[in-house]
Amino acid sequence: MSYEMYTKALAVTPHDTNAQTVYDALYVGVAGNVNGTLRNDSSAVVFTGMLAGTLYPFSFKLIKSTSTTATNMVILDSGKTYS
Amino acid sequence: MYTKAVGLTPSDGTALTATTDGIYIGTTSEGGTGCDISILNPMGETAQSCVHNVGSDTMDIATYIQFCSANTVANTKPAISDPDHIKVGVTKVNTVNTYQPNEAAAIDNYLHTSVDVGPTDTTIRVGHSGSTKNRIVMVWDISDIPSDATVTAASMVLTEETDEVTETMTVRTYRITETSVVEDCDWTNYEGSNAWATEGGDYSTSITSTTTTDGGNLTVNDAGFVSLVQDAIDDRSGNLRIIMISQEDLDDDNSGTQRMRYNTSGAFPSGNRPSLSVTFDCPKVSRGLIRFNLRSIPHDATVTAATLQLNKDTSSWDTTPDATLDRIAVYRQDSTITGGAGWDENVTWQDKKDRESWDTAGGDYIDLAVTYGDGADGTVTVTGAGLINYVQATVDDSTALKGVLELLMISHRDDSSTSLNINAETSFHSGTHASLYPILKVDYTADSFVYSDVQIGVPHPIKCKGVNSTHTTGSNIVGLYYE
Repeated sequence: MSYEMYTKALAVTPHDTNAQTVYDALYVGVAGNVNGTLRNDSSAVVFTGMLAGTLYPFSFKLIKSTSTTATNMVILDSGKTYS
Repeated sequence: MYTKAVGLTPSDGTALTATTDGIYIGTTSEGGTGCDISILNPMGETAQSCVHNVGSDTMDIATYIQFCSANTVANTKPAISDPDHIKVGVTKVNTVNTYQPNEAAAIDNYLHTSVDVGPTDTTIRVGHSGSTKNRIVMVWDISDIPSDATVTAASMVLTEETDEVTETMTVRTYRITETSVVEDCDWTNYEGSNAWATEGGDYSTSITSTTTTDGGNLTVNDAGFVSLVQDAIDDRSGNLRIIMISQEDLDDDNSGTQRMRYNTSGAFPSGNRPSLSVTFDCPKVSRGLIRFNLRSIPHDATVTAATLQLNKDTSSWDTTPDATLDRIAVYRQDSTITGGAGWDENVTWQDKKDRESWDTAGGDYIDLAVTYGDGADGTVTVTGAGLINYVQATVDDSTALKGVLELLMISHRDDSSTSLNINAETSFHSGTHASLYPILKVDYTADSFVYSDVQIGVPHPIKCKGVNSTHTTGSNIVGLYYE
């Protein structure tokens, strides 16, 4: 897996409706499920069993509190602009 | 960076609207952190192949089962206890049974032309004294010798009680044809008031044992006696019923006295009792069992070629291999037959696993199209339409055992009608010699592709048109897209 160089980081507070800043990746600190919507999706998908200490190249625009059990999550951004 | 995600429900052959750029698998039914996933290949039908070594997967194991009627230990011993070899073929087990029953357990008496000597006489006599004839009657219970035994030697010894011969006396031993002869028999009757058809005993001369004596102990061990013992095992339920008659008696030669008296089963010391020693061979049949986990082959595969390679431990050859007979027939075991496949490390000739019997002792199997390996030394290669059929049937198997190929290897010698005179067993290397493991190579074409041991909880850059349910052990699967 290749990694971008990330220049910004933001702690995630899951919420069912509050859209978050759209960054490029998600870091999971404590393992669990993540129920969220990716940048180009209109509905959420549950990622079961995400691993602690793992960086995922998933660009979330929403991480819901419902069904999300992973914690200590951080979103990361490379600063690149995507069309 | 993935920007779209779609939850995927595995379904055989169901195509997605768009090929994924990646896959995420949340959970596995295998325990641990790995799973198998079968996907519809975006490239469509492709030619693929796989190689399975026994020992490369915990489900890929090889062993053998044995049966010998004269050695019950071999029949019940878990075959896996010899993990180094797969044995196939038939060998001989040589056994000697010795009999020397006491008076209560024995039937031994003699017939006297004019006297009912009763059951308690301390001697048995053969020969004549003038016109008085004496014939020995004996019944030996040798029913503990297995019915598939081949008698190679038999020796009956009678110890001298009184020597009354003055010249060499010839003694013939025949099979008594009456089946109910008892200890208290006499010249007229074989049991109570049941009379012999011919006074002096009814007997067959189809087998004749001949021996001579100049006095002393009598040993009867000629080829005719061996045949009488074999006949008793084969056709008389293990009862050796014999009558011993002197040639002078048969010739009605009444001149002088030519007679021997021998000790009976009531003799003391016990070593003087009549004794019988029977040496026999019984076949020990060995059959090989091999299992390959073929779940890496997709359910929609069409098998085009299959080769099973077995590496011989040539030191186990007892005879020069026969090009015809020393072939190995390979059959497929199948869970669709009741009590069929699914053996484990406790497999024996009788049981496929602990406290669960085969339908037929020696292993249940289906002969889709028997496939043979030849008898040459070195490497045996099994291939052809039969093996392809077995692998294809395994791929197509919709039962709980689907994807697991279980093979039963049977020697061409493994046939009760031909096994008794042979001594040919092949030993193949099994679990502890990595370079000599049995190997199965399969070529096939398929629309699908199976990824094995895929880690859960992380994304994988796997492009797929869909996820099949067959052979997929992962769940909570998400398809990922870049856009």
